[in-house]
Amino acid sequence: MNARARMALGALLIAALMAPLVPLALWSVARGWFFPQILPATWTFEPWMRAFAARSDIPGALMTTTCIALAASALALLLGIPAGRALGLYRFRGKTLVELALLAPVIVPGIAVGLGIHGVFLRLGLTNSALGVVLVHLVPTLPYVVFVMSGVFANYDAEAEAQARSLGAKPLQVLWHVMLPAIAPGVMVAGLFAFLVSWSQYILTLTIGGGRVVTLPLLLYAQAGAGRNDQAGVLAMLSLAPGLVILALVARQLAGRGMTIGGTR
Amino acid sequence: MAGSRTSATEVIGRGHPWLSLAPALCVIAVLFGGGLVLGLAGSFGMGRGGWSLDAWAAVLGEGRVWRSLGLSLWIAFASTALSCLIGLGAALLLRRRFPGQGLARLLFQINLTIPHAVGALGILWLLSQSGFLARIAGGAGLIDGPAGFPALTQDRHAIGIIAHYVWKEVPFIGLILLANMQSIGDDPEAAARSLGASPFAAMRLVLLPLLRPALIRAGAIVFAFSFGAWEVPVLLGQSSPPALPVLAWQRFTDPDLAARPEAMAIAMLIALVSALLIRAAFAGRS
Amino acid sequence: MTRLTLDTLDLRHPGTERPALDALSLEVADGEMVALLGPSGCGKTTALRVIAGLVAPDAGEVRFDGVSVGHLPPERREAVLVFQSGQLFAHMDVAANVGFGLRMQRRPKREIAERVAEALAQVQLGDLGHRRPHELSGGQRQRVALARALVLKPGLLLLDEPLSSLDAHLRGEMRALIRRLQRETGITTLVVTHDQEEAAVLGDRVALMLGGRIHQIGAGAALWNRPADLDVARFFGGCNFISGRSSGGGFDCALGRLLLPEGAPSGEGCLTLRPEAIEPGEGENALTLRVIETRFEGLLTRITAEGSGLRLEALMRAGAARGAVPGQDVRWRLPREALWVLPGV
Repeated sequence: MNARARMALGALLIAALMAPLVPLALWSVARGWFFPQILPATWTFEPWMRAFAARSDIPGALMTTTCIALAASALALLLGIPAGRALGLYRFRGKTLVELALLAPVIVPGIAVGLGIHGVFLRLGLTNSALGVVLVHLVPTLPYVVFVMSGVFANYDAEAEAQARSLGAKPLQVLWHVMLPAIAPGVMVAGLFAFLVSWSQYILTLTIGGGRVVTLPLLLYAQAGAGRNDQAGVLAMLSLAPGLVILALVARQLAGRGMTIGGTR
Repeated sequence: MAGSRTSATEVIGRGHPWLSLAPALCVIAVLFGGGLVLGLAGSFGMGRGGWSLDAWAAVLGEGRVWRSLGLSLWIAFASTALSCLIGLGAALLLRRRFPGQGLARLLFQINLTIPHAVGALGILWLLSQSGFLARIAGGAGLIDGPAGFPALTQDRHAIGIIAHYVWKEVPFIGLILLANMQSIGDDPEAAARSLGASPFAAMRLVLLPLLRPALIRAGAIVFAFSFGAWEVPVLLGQSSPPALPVLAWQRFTDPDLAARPEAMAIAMLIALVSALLIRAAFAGRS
Repeated sequence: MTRLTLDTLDLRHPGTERPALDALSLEVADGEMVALLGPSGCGKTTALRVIAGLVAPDAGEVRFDGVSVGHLPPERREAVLVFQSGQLFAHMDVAANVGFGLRMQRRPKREIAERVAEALAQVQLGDLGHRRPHELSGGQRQRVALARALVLKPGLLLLDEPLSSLDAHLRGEMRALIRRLQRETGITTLVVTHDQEEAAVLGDRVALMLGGRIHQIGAGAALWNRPADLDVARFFGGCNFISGRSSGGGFDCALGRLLLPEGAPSGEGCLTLRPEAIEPGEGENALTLRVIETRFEGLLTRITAEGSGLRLEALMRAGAARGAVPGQDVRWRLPREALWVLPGV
């Protein structure tokens, strides 16, 4: 295949992948855009103004989603970095089993476990609370962080730590001055994508939050269902934003590694 | 030297990898394991006045459940097959240099970061009978009104749902294959060529078998997700029969609390299908 | 400075058949540089790690100045280990790498800067403080690693194969630098190497380690010419072993009676002599042998010859080897000083 054909096919591929974003973007700057108009008759920033007006639910949902995603990814990093270190650096009996146990939450759909987790959280008094939602978001984010960090640690030379000890560093100093700087790029990738995974959750949030914890995806469907397409368009654009920013930040590190676990589920 | 791996243990690891794994494994055990166990117990009537097989008997004896299962399997099979096929094509396309390749590769990754809910709404507004494509068709004079445009969403064949999964998963499959192609390199194919294989034969007989394990695992992930996701069929699917996850949620939120064990039983069915997938695609890997 | 004592150290890595350290004992005097020589896998790197405190031995004691340090973690030991790979921290520049240990001790910034500059000058890298490790050549990296250890003024310096990652022409330079710095600072040093020549040049004494224990320790020449046992002789390239009996300054064997140097052990044993010690010509201990094979090995030629059913191998320069033609007889002299007896073999 020559370069020109590749270019044409590539353009077609990208156009197809971008196509569903077009109506979303158009609705966020349209007023009364009805069949058979191909483009909105009136272009306006009014939907955005309304979205951030005083009585809008959107700023609150934005805040909720951001805080939950920050908390969930921080917790996932806290638990996932040591686990990734163990999987990346050591060979031990039962390792394959551990990997399978961590893979299962990535594969088993949220609704299959969410209904049961609802039962667990009901007993713990965690349903209908943001804390419960943060915890349940660990199910998809934590395995993700563990797998990314295990890949990072597989390329990490633990001998540097022995060298640091011999040069007089205490274990905590080794952690802070040697290990963390060395794995920092990997931690960033894992953290940013854990954030995105949490940011995109729907059914787990709905199950545990019981409709009281309103995140952007929930509000998106609510607005679209109520026929407020312009507000849904704004919400869609807001939901896209962190992913695009993160992609721009880590595009280089991503190639070949980052998303091998499964993107945002 | 022989001691290098041992000494690493002494540095921060504090003796044993299990200690570093314990917190993460505990959280997964309580949340994920606990969720499965309680779901299973719930399906046998726990918390509803004694153990019984009623819910399972009702679910397995109900034609609607089987139709939903069939629909979900169709969605998963079709989405996985198309995603793998197109994803492979995209990877083969993007691996060679052409003008704009870098940009195409960057844009190719965008879908991975888009929440499913956003994508599903985009697909709805793109493909519905009053959607963007229908308007373009109308503008081009191909159809008279919304009814003239084929029903691609909330339709019997779940085309909208499948379209969404393919749209979202082609980059996922494609990027995994691209990464694998990068680590395989050009040498195996070049060796085949020098042994007399045509470019196509080299790809089919050398490259594809090398990519197979990665493709199977990525495909299993796509299958499990498109089989069990809720937010996509709830927006893009028809209401009768609904996809299996939607049916589970309907039972779960039924005002009649007696339907809850049935919801749990359906959730366990979904978990069972994923467990079989994990066994088939991931267990026993080296 | 520190006197180092290793007292019957035992260590077996889990899941391995042979012990890595097998009753290893060694004494390094204050200010001495000892080269720990051995083939790969003999346990010499493990020994360094035990001394540095990175691995705990199963049994035995490590003592600094006679005091056991078994309970001390690596950062509180007087010893600094310089890794084979250098192990520069990639996220720090050269100056930060060299100052790492001082920062861990929370020294004042000014003092760190001064001592880092001093240490970098010592290894002739005074102007490279702002470079990153990946911008350095292999030799420069090794010198930074050395400076990073020296700046701490340790009581004991442990060098693991410091020259193995360098090109041949850099080795000589680096060897001289290590030698000079050790003399200047007087730091007790244990340097591990698999290279005989390196061991001989660097070490005040050479300790040969085989199978987890020291087989012989002494001046380099002694190990070469006066091996303690068959394994030592073989390690140093010995290939002529003749069994017989040593008595009264002579050795009786199939080749007749050969005169021995003074001090050679007596009794049943095995005569050894290095192939390059054999000389063509007449004199003391001269023999007639039939040449079987000659093999050109560059600078030297290896000649195999036979007499009285015994084979001898000799390594000779081209000129000396010219007379040796397969199938013909030669006269070879086995110099008395080059002979040694391994008793009881």
